[in-house]
Amino acid sequence: MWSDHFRRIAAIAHIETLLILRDKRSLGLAFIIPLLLLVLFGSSLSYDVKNIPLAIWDQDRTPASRALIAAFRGSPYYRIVALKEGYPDLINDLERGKTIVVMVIPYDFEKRLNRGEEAKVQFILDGTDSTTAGISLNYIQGIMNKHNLALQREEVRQGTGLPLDLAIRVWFNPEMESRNFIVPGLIAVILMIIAALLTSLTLAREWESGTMETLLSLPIRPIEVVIGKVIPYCAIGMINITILLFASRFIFQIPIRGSIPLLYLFASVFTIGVMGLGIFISGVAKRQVLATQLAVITTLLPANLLSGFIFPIRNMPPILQGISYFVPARYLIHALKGIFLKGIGISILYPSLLLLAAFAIFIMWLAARQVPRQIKEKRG
Amino acid sequence: MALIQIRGLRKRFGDGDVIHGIDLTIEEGEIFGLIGPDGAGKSTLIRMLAGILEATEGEISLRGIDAIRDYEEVRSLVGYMPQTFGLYGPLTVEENLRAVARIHGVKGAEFKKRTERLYQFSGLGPFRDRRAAQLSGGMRQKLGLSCVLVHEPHILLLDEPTVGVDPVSRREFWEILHALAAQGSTILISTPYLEEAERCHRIAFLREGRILEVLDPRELKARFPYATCDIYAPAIRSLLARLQKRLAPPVAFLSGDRIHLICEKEVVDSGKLEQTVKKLSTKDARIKETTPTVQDLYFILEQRGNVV
Repeated sequence: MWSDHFRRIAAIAHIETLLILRDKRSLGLAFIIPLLLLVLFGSSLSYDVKNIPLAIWDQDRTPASRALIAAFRGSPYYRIVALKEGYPDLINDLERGKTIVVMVIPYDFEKRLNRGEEAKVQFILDGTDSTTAGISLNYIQGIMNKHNLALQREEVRQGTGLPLDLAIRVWFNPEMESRNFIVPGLIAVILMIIAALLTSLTLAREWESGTMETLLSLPIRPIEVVIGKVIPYCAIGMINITILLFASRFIFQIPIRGSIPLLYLFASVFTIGVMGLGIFISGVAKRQVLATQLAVITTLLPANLLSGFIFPIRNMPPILQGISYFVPARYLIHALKGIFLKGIGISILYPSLLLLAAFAIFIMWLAARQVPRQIKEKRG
Repeated sequence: MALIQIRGLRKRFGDGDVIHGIDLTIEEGEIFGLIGPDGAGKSTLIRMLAGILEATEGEISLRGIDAIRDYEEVRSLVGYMPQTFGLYGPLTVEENLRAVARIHGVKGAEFKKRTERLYQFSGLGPFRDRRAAQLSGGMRQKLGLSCVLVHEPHILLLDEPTVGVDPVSRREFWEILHALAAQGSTILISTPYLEEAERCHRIAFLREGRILEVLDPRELKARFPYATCDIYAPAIRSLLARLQKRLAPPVAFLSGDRIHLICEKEVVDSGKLEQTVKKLSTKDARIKETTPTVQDLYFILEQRGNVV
């Protein structure tokens, strides 16, 4: 009985393998596209803003004001592009986009510091690109805080001021490199797109070539067809996972702190589920062109927008947060970040694995329902 | 022994019946032909027998199996070949055969033995490593038939297998079918060609979802009491009108540049037709007797209610 199931699954897997191997171009794309996407997105997608152009008008010209300027000059985030005299010049630079941040140090800066009064520094930011503006604002505050602390220590040594020090440690990603969390997310997105795209051809191809009616007339179960079809793509999926992990580790230098077998386990369960989704889409569309388009839309959008890859899930409105629970990429991204950066194991991540497995089983069942055993529509 | 028994079979699509209550019995070892024009319901009937189309009403029994309820069981019993058998184009002839055989559980030495035999009578042996997409129409149909035969089904259901196949391949195809029937296979085959009907043991005329008549084709040929001919003449339209008035043939109509006419055999044999035509038209009028086609049979069936 079981051997019959395996025999039929093996027969379907064999057909599909031959079909894949005879279509060299698609096979090549199946390996090149993921790597290309990873390198392209991985190197261009970055939330780190460096070398922000800064224009300064130092009215004070004292050791204190120069110390403050030095603090900015020493930061990798800023590049001083101009030292100006007067607002018109500064505004002009801002308008022309020559600079994004303007700093004005007033005449009485050192005087007030020495008197122990509050010394003010003016910053003007170009807010058109709100992301960059927001990030540079953070950097300004960071540099100013550091400078304040330095000044305070000076005062503490002289017996005045408050002995308050901050001890901040950022764990798991101490340099706060955004690529450290972008790349694991990107792996999930790329796996999702590629897996769905590849398998979206399967059933549609059978419909187009008339072999669906052949399958229909053979003693085989729908689930055997679906499992048989997924098997060869799983092999491609495993190779893709390997390529992506290698690229992450050696091209992007992402630390892998957790278990590599666990990474494979998560990625494979996820990939199998998405492949089931591709087969399901293929069966619904019945046409290869339509199926591929549907596959891209249904995977690209949710994987990018609702998985926590680009936008943090906790910042979403409640409805979208609810929907995100049904986006499997969410669980894979969560697990990948955990394994890559935190080095956590199965004891923490098992709920995600169970949900991914449940998704895979459910979608396989849905996909099998797309393999008909009797013709429904009118023909002949 | 009745191998296939159909009772009160009905198929409804939307709000119209495509098959209107068919009763039919087919004996073991028979080659049974379903003859009918496009849209007569031939494919629908065959699909229901193959269990891939649900019947609306009625009973189908295949070797004692209820084909409507146990349609999955039917798949191991019958070999169904659709109008165009879906082959995997990028796979070779042998790979296509092997795929179907494996699903049926035919493997190893048994598969080798059977494929060799199939190659022998299909003549596909030299092409076993050629991809299915690169086969000619005739070879594709033979490969399709081979795929259907690889699990040695008791019942063969073939839906217009020779349409689009060259005459030589068609003859070979029929030789294969006769060899199979001699070995005990029961074959139900649909075809739009009357000449193929003559190769069947029995034929049924199907029209608009009804069986008009079931008969033995040899009997048909001997007893078909009509002659068919084409008449070429000037002023063809008025000639047709006057012929209809004078002879009242069962069927006469304009077909392009000629009149197509079906009339009782003795009208032609006695020379009455020729005399009449010559009298009504000019000396140039030409009468060409044709062999009756399936279309001619329908005209007669429509007019007279039976063929013989």
